[in-house]
Amino acid sequence: MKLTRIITYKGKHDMIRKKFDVTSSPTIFFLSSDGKKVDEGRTSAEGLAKEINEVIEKYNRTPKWAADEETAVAAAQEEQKPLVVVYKDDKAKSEQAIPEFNVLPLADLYEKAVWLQRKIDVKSDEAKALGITAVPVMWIIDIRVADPQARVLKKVPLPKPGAGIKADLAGVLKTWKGTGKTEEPKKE
Amino acid sequence: MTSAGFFVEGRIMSKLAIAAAALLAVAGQSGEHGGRIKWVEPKSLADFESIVAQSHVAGRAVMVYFTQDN
Repeated sequence: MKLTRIITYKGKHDMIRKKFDVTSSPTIFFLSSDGKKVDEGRTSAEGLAKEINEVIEKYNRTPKWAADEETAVAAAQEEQKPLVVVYKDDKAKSEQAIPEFNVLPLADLYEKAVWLQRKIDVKSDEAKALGITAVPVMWIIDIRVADPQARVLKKVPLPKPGAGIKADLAGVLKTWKGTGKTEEPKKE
Repeated sequence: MTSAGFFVEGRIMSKLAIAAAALLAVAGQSGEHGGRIKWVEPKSLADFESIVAQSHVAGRAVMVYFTQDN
């Protein structure tokens, strides 16, 4: 689930109630990922579900995943950035891999690449043509290179801790050439 | 509305049940099909802050449910 859920009881967690000035129960608070109160829960399941989605959308840290491949390719070309594609399926291993892209260390690099999640069946002709035999896997691609083999700069099996993903992407960015100049890698 | 619940579809439903139903709906699961919500109960204020800090590293927002029941 995309939200940390904490329950507190009157008489047992009064210090937490005091911290947030909670005077009546039941009450629901939403905190952003840095612990600040951003909203209070509504009273109907429908309203609350909508609110939870809004909080997740607004306050969870995540790369800006492109809506589809076409959009991602166009953005990578226009912005002269590496395209990070996560090939995945519906299985648990893929579900474990995605939250690692939300971790704090990787957030520094969110703006340095274009991000795409792509479902693929490893038994499909497309997967065979791409040479994908297992998912999840992350490919870092230079979309400006015409040769489909040469454009893949790095292939990284997932799941992998976010710090490791950062190191892989940082390695590519170190030699990445943008519009006519080599970008200085950010010191870690 | 009562002190502990709300009228939903003609019956009183606790806010906790509403919260669970909402979370299950967000997760695409149904309580009628065995969906369950797990809540973390902090041991202290420091533990609470540690849970929130871990959530910060993981990039997840936090939902805190304050209840009277124990």
